[in-house]
Parts: sequence; structure tokens; C-alpha cells
Amino acid sequence: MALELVDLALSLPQRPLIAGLQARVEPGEVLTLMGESGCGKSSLLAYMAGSLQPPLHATGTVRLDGRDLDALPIEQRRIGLLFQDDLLFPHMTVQQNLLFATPPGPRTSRTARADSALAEAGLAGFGDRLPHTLSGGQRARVSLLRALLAEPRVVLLDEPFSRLDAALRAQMREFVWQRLKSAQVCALLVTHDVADVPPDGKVIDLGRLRPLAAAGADRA
Amino acid sequence: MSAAPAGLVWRLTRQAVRALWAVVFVVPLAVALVLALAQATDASAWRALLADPQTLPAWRLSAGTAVGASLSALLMAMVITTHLHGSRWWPRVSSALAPMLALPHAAFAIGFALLLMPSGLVARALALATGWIDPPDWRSVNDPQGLVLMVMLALKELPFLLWNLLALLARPELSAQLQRHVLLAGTLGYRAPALWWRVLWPMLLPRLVWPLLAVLAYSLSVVDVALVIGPLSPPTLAALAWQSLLDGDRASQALGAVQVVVLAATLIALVALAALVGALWRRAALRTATAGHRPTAARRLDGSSFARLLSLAVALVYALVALMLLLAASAGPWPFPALLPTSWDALAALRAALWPTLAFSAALAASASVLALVLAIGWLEVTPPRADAALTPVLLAPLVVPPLLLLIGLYQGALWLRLDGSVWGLLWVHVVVVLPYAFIVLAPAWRGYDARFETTALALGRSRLAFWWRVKWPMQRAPIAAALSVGFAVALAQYLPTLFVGAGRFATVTTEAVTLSAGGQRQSAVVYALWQALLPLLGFALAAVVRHPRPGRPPFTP
Repeated sequence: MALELVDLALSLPQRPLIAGLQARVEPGEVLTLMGESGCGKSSLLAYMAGSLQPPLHATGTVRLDGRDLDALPIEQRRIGLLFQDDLLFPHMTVQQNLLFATPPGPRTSRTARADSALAEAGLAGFGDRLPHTLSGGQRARVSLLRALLAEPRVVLLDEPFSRLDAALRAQMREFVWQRLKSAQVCALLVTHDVADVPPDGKVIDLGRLRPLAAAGADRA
Repeated sequence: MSAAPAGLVWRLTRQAVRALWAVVFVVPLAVALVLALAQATDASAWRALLADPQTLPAWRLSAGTAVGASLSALLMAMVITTHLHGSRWWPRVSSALAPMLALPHAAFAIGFALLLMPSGLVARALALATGWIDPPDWRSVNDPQGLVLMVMLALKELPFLLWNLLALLARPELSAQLQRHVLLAGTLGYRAPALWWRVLWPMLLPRLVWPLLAVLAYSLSVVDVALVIGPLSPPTLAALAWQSLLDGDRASQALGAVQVVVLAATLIALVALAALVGALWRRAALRTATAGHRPTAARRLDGSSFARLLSLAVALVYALVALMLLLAASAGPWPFPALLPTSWDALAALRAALWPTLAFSAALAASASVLALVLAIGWLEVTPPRADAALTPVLLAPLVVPPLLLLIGLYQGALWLRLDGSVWGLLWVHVVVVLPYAFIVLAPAWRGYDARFETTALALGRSRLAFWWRVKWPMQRAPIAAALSVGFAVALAQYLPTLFVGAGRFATVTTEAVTLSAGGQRQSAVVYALWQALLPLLGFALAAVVRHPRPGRPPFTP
């Protein structure tokens, strides 16, 4: 179930940002896209998620298992998203947040899945808590669990560690890489921090993929 | 570094503002409510209430129209927001709200009645197809079930709810988060409408409690609109109470007070019921949200098309009402079934007899809105945040206390102060009514103001007065202009206070429009209704000019 990026390009009107991005990500693998602020990293993820807004424009193909993701609406792409903010629903308990993502089925088995995910993440007994009663790191872990419980085929990570403090960031990175590997999903990480790159992960520097026109415009 | 220590002038200013608030607003409000309730302790009035055969049907009408109108307005606002928020239609919805809000309730009711009455525009348009020669025998206005009143109230409260929603959703902390919630839910397999109904509404509705309460309280106790378009025999309980209160007989006035207390009790009961239903609904929505079911393509209704149609239909009704006011105000004879007047009297709206009423209405509304603005700014400047948060419900009380209850008390207060029938009493009661609106408009801008501007100005050696005058208030010109225009519109639309506290001695465009319309003289009423709609529009237009400085000129020059 590999993810393929074929000749992806991103531009603003009269300002190309990225051109010719080619990559293949295998299950359990994390591809890191690096680049400075404003280079179009997050917009690329938005394109893959199906939420790119004008005036940004993207071309190229994103394939999952040989199937073109462009042809599918967002809710059928089975993509998991992780942002800087945890985006947990504040009026729902931790367990309710997780159940929102868990696919339909008998209530008891879904609840058991959510509880076991919490236990594996060291959050057993936290199911009835509201998000605002958790620490930043705990919320970040719940957010990842929620994304994974939906059984995504790809997870897109948009600078997910940037709001955490240094000590927590290291713990969270380890937790995320471990969970992604065990779930065997393809993952794309965008970041500007080299320390975020997972061990043995592939890295693409988007700065090198900038079209000449854009680079020239910047120098002018 | 904190701001400079408070000097004598600053301390005196704070005390003066607090004293002014106490004298003009807080004490009179409390006394008014006590006096109103005291009036309702007459046992014989309660016996008269129970013996009156109109009581129960009138109460049923009031409760039914209030609940129906509030729920319909809320549901329409939810449907429109669910399907159009974030789309290219949303800015159109938001830009259409200002003129809708500017149209006063009474003017809207008169225009709506002129549309629907048997000789109204709708019947004339139908006559083109049906060949009617005489107006049909419809009970389309003043219908005994109060359905037209309910529909009219729902249509008029919808822009108010949407305006509140718009303000809520535009808050920076919420706006970006909502977009990402929608995207995130999409990746979890939920389309945006499913997310709204299952997650976002249960999250957002508790933040709309005040506007919802205001809509319910208004719909339950509205008098002027009910007189124009509501049922006649029996009328709503609010209209019945108004008739009793206007009677010179003490027993009738006591009955009126008792009827108003029944309205207030009904409001409390409805709020409790709404809280219960709201909690059950939230629980059901959460249960659905956590069940994991994603709506399939086959089950999806095209909600977005429906929401667009609904928005267009509402806009069309408002456009037709405005057109009807314009047509009727400048019409000469207009026999049925002609679609347009057979002759025109374009200057009817400019007759000299109108000018004294117009000038008095505008002067009263302008004075009340300026005084309310001064008091609201004073409060926001001198009140510490904790006291501000704790006392906000008191400031907003006039929005949710049934206007008649408040009015009985204010009238008693005016009698006691010998201000009844005087222009000062009239001005005071208008300020009390306008203040919460001015406060609602100003408060977010004042509370969100970056305090470091003040620290910077004081650190640069300028006085607090110089900071206010040259930095802060020019920066706040948009909310100040908005508060003035909203206050002006609210003051201009007052019917009950003008008649009651003014002892019938002062005529405004609103009192004339409602009195003439309730007396069946809709053609004459419409000229006043048109001005009642035009004056606030002028206010809003002026505010728009003030809030957008001319290009090439800095917004303020310190």
C-alpha cells in the first residue's frame, strides 16, 4: 500500500513554489519534506488532503496503491491528519473523541479498541477526562491515537511537534514514529526542524525543488 | 512595567462613571423590577386574570408563537450556517445582514402585512393568474392562530441570530480552528454537515445563550408587532397586558401587571424547558457522533442547495417588504387587482406635517444613543475585568427581561421622580433600553484591546486622557460608530416606552406607524414605517463612512 507522489507542482498566480516533486513512501515509512517558511510545505499536505484553497494551485498526481487520490472526496481518502494543535473537540471526553474516529461496529468492541489504544499510550483511565484537563503532551498523544483509530492509509503530519517543549518533543517523536511503524501506514512529515526527522527516514529538501523563476524572484 | 499610578483625576473619573451608572441604570433597573412585581401582588387582579376567558387562549398564542418563531429562526440559522459557512456564499450572507437588521420590527411587520393582506401584493400577483376581481377572503393577517405573527418574527429574528453567529465564528481563535476541525473530520470520513450537527453545534450553542434568550424573550412579549400583524380576538398575552396597562382604571392596571408577571414566569419556564431539551439534544448528538456511522452518499440530502434557496427566499421577502413600503408610501389610489398603483404621490413621504415627528424622533434617538455610548465606554474604561465579568448579566438584563415588566417598573420610577410625560423621562427610559445594545457592540473591541498600547503611551510621558483621546478612541472608531448606529436604530424603534413613560404626549415615527397600522390605516402608517426604516439606514450609512477613513488619510493622527 505505497504512496506515490508523481511530478507534483505547487504555485501561486505568477509565482511557482515547488516543481517536479517525485517520491514513493512505503508502509511504515516516514518521508520528511523540509523547507523554510512559506515554501509551500503545508500547502502540499493540504493538496494531498484535498483542501487546497485558491489562489494556491497544484498539479501532479498522488497515488495510493496505484489509485489516484484526486478522484476521491476528502472523506473517502482515508488520510489521517496531525497538526500543531491537537484539535480535540473540547466538549467531548477523551474517549468520545476517540470513538468519533473509530469505524462503526458493536459499541463494546469500539470502546474496547479506544480503551486499549489509551492504555498502550500510557493514558489508561483518562477516557472520561475532558481535553482541557490533560497536559499538552497527553493531548498530542490522544490526537495521534484519534487519527490512527480511523484506520488511515496515510498520515500527514504538519509540524506536529513545534508547539511542544523540548523535553516533551523528544518523547512525542519517539511515540509517533513507533505508532506509525506498528500501524504500517505511510506518513509524510513537514517540518523546518532537522531534529524532527525520524531515524532512517527519507528527507526531501523542498528548497532544491524550487523552480528557477521563484528562486530568481527571491534574489531580485 | 505597569501603567502609571492612578492620579486624583483618574480616581474621580472612575467614581463619577460608577455613580452615573448607578443613578441612570443599575438602581432604576432594580427598583423598576421590584415596583413591577409589587404591582402584581393584588389578589383581586389574580382573580380577574383567572376569570377572564381570554387569558388561557392569549397565553397559548404567546407561548406558541414565541416558541415557534424562536425555534424556526434558530433552525434556519443553523441550516444556513451548516451548509454555507466557509463557502463563497458566506460573505454574501454576511453582507446581506446589515440592511435586514436595520429594518425595524414594526416597519417590517407593516410591510409584511401589506404583502400578505387580501389586497396585498401577493394577492394582486395571484390575481394576474386567477382573474380575481375582488380581494380574496383570506385571514392572512391578524389570523387567529398567530401563524403570520410567528413567521414574521422568525424571519425578523433570523438575521439577528446569524449576525451573532457571524461574530462568534469570526473570532480569530475559533475561525482557524473550525476550518481545521472540518478538514480533520473530512479525513476521518465525515462530511462538513455531519460534523456541524454532531459536534460543532453542541459545542457552539452554549455560547449563543444570550442571543437565544433575547429572541425568546422578545418574541414572547412583543407588543407593537403583535398589534400590527398578530391575532385580534383574543390577542397575544403581551398585547392583552398592554391594553390593560393603558386603561386608566387601577384594577385594569393591576390586571395588566399580573398578566406581565405571567409572561415573565412563562419565559422562565420556557428557558428551563429549553435548557432541558438542549441538554438532551446535546447528549443525543454526542451519542450519534461517537457511534462512528458516516452518512453514505445515498443518504445525503443536498443541504447546500436547500440552504442557498432558503437564504435567497429570506432575502426576497426582505426585498419585497422594502419594495412594498416604498410603493405604498408613494402610491395614490391603488384599486384591486392592479399590480401597481394607478397614480403616484411621490411626495407623500415628504409632507410638511411629518417633519416635526421626524425631527423629534431623530433627536431623541440620537441623544439616547450618544448618552448610552458615553455610559458604555465609561463602564468599559473604569471597570476592573473581574467586576466587568461579574456584572455583565446585570447590564444585559433589559435584553432578556420582558419589556413590559421593565416598563411597568420604569414607569413607576418615572412617576415617583415626576418625570412621566416629560422629555427627560422619555430620554432616560430610552437610554436604559439602548445601553445593553451599545455595550454588546463595544465590549468585544474594548476587552480585546491590547493593553500594551496604553503602557507604551504612558511610558512615553503622555497622560491617560491624551492616550484615550489620541490613541485608543481613534483606533476604536469602527465599534464606536457601530454602537452609535445600533443604539440609534434601537432607540428609534421604541414603541412601549415612548407611549407609556411619555404619557402619550410625544409622537415618534414608531408610535405613529404602529398606532395607525393597528387602527387599520395601513396606507397612512406606511409613510411613518418607511421613515422608521430609512432613519436607521441613514445612521448605518453614516457609521460606515466614519468607520472607513478616506483613502490616503491615516485612520488617526496622534
